[in-house]
Amino acid sequence: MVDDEEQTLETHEDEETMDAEQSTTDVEQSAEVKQEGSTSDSDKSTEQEKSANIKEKLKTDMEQMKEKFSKLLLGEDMSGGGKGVSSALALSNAITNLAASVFGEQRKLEPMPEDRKMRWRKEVRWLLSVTDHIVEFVPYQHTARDGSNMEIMITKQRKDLLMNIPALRKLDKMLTDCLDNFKDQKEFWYVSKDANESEKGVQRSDKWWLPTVKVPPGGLSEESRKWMQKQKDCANQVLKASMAINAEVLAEMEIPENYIEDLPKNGRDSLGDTIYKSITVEFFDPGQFLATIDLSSEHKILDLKNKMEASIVIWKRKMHQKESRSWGSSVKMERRELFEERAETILILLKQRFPGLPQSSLDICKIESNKDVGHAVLESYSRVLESLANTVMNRIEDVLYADELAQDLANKSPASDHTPCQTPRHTPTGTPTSTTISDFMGWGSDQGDS
Amino acid sequence: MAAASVCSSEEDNNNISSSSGRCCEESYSVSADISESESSSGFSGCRYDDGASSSSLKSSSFAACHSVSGNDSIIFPLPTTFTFPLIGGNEGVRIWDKKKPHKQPDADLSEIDMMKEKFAKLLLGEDMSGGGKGVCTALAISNAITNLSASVFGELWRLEPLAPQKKAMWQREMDWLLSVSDSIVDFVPSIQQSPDGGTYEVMETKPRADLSINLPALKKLDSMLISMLDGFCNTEFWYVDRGVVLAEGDGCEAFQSRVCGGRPSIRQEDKWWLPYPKLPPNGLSEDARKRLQQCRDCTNQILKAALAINSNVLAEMEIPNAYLESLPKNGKACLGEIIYRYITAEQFSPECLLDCLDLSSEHHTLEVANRVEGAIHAWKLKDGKTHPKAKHSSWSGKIKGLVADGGDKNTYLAQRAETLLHSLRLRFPGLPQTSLDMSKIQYNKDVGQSILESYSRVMESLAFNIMARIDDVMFVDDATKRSECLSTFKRGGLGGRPIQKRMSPSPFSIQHTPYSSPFATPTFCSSPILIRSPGRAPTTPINGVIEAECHKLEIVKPGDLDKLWTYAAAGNLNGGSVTERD
Repeated sequence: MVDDEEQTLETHEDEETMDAEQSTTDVEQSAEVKQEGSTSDSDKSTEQEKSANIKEKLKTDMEQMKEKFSKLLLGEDMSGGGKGVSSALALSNAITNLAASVFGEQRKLEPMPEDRKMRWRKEVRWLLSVTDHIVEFVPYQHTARDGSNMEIMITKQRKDLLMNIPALRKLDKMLTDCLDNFKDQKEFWYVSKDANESEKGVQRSDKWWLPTVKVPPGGLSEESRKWMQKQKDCANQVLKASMAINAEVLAEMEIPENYIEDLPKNGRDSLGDTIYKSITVEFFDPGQFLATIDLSSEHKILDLKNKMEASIVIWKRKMHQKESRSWGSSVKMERRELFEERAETILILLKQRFPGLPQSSLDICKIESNKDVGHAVLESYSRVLESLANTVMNRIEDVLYADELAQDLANKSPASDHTPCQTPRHTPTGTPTSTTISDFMGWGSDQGDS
Repeated sequence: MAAASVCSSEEDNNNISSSSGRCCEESYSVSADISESESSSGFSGCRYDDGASSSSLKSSSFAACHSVSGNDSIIFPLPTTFTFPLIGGNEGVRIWDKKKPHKQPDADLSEIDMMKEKFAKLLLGEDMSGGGKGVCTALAISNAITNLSASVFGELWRLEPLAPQKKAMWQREMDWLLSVSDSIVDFVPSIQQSPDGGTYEVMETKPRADLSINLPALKKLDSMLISMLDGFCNTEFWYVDRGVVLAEGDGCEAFQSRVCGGRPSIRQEDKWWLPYPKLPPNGLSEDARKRLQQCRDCTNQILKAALAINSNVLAEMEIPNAYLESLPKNGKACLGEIIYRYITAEQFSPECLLDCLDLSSEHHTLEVANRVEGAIHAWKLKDGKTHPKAKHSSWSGKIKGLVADGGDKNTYLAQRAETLLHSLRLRFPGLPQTSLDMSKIQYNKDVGQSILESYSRVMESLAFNIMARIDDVMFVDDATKRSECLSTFKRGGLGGRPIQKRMSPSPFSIQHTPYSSPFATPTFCSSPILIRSPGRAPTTPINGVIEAECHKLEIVKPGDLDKLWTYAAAGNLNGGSVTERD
């Protein structure tokens, strides 16, 4: 499974895989419909009923689809006055909202309910179908009947979509399959958050609203621990891949005018004196720099990220302006370039350390002003997959954590009865994934290549 | 899979190259026989009526029509229990959302795919690069409706039932496009009774008023027209290619006179590609003729209703800033010296002015309409500029504004120009869209209005074309019957010159005599020199006009020359209504 996925990611260019993949989804699509009909009965007399069922289903599908697309076309402005958002943003919002309503309830490691899974597949397919019609001209060697060759232009799906949409579809399927795998596991179970204290397991993070995990005393069996680890790796792969696509798409989007207008005048204003000073010192060590800064809450981390991004944009713009004007103050130029590189390094480090960080203001601004429908679909689809993968990872870690505790308890029970809060795995930051920095370190270098 | 994808992209490519870069307009080209569709650029070529000819309504009828359009809601001019006088069609009006014919699930599946494609293209706003540089939703839908009607109805060559697959395509795709309007709602306050007896006000959604009134009306007009076309099966007339007619007529004296007698109407004269209606030797039977006339009257009503909706919607659309910016600075510059002098004169009569102007061609008339409309808005703009100032300034300024007639003069001139435009529209009810109309359609952002406008426009054009085809048949019928008459009376009597003063029957009276079709201008039925082979036939309508004129000159006394020149030009382009007003 994991190998398969890696291969997909590494061979973006390999169209054949993509095509094959696409065709399987097509087959699935029709198979899905047939399945629906066959669940009722396999009796001969119900043959007609079956086809009637299928037809009925298709009809309701069409009605739903019409409504969905109508709302997209109106750009969420139901007055019809045309004051709605652009198609790109409407699609992006539609994907985000669909994912929220489908995955919002995924609090346990268990297969998605069939109806929700169907809805997700169906509606995502509708929304993604828009990208089938986004094309570009490409030259094509056409061989005429007399054997002569000539080059003509043909239309083909836009390259970024041709590469990334099948990849994202695959990641999507991997994730839902991963959840399906938990169907038969018996070694851990969930206790509702309202259960009394004695029955309750241990909550790894401060997410009190989630049900807690219980594992058998003594922890999971060796076999299922391995199996869990495998599932975690799989989710992690999906997470990394979707993050990579998301970052790539966001990087490709233009920086919107209104973001530039709102920027402070210079890097110092944007960063504030303290940070500015520590980033412009002669010898700069990014690790040390981060150590000096308060990153205790998500809010603070995001703030730092926003400041860094803003100053990068400011410096880059200044360098560009200077370049076009004169070569006068090349010393200043070099310094800006240096600072800009430092800021970029910090951004990469932040990303590695806090992978689940919400979008920065630059990202949000880009998403809101983006007019490119292809980018909008890629960005939102990869974003929701990223977030689902992150959820799955966290739920798996919950189980592993409970397992660890149980093991500890089993080992030390005769000796001591210390509380689980003091275990080293508990993180005070409240960002559950912050314990997995090492997982992402390896990926960080990959990212640098692309 | 790979091969298939290449194949489909090649198809796409063909579409794009054939439509000169507008890859969006052709959808899935279901059949080859929609080739004549002039799926021209979105809004500019939106009238698919016979090119230039357009004024089919008489002024009297338009006055009535106007009273209809003046009202906000469209009063449907037909009795509700109206059964169609269709030949062989006793199934009555088809309901639009009737149950779809039994289909295979596979067909449904592909239908879903087609729908996805359609909506995807709309969402992309016809910019297939996905870059978001496409048109807004309103214009995308407007263009989609226009193009769909062009590919389904084309120019409507014959009075015959629509091919089933075309009809299915029309109904299916219109259903999709119109479904967008289902989601357009208004918030309205409504009083609700709470269980304890108290009342409270809540906001609830309701379909927007203009849509809930006009869309059902348009759907009804649509289904009426379609079922009327369906009724034209087993008719007493039939069509032959013009080439066939001429080939048969070659060297056959007796037949030649028949052909002359059956010369198509003036409107059709320049449409040499249209097939030629043929009748039994004695013309249509009394019954068939009566039914045809009833169809014509009915279509006329539909045309007027569609026109009324269309002009209402256009009137409701905001005037785009781009239009206002493009206007010349003052009314004088808009109108030109002559009209300006007339309009600013002490005595002003719009009718007199119109009589003086060169309205011989639709082009000229449209030009005048554009100028007058431009002047109206230029003056109104000026007026708006002076008046707000008065409002904000002190009392003295206000009084000054009232006393000094700078603003008033503008208002006054704008009013005059408005009456002039009104008279012009009465005279030429079928005038194509003015530049203001086109600019409104182009810049309109309101999806609801765009649906109403485009739907009513294509209905208007379909109704117009049906009427023109009915008139062709009636014309041939008239001519056939008259040539029989002529054979007893010899030449003279009716021939020679156009009967220009004939009063048109009121379009509201359904039972006038079947022979007095206002379009039957049986002018040169006795002229023997009118056979043209398609080979010799000019390929452009302009040549056709000249040739037609030549023919007329040969048979008309010099005294009538002037009249004929205007007649020929106007008749060609305006469907003869001008002549009747002379």
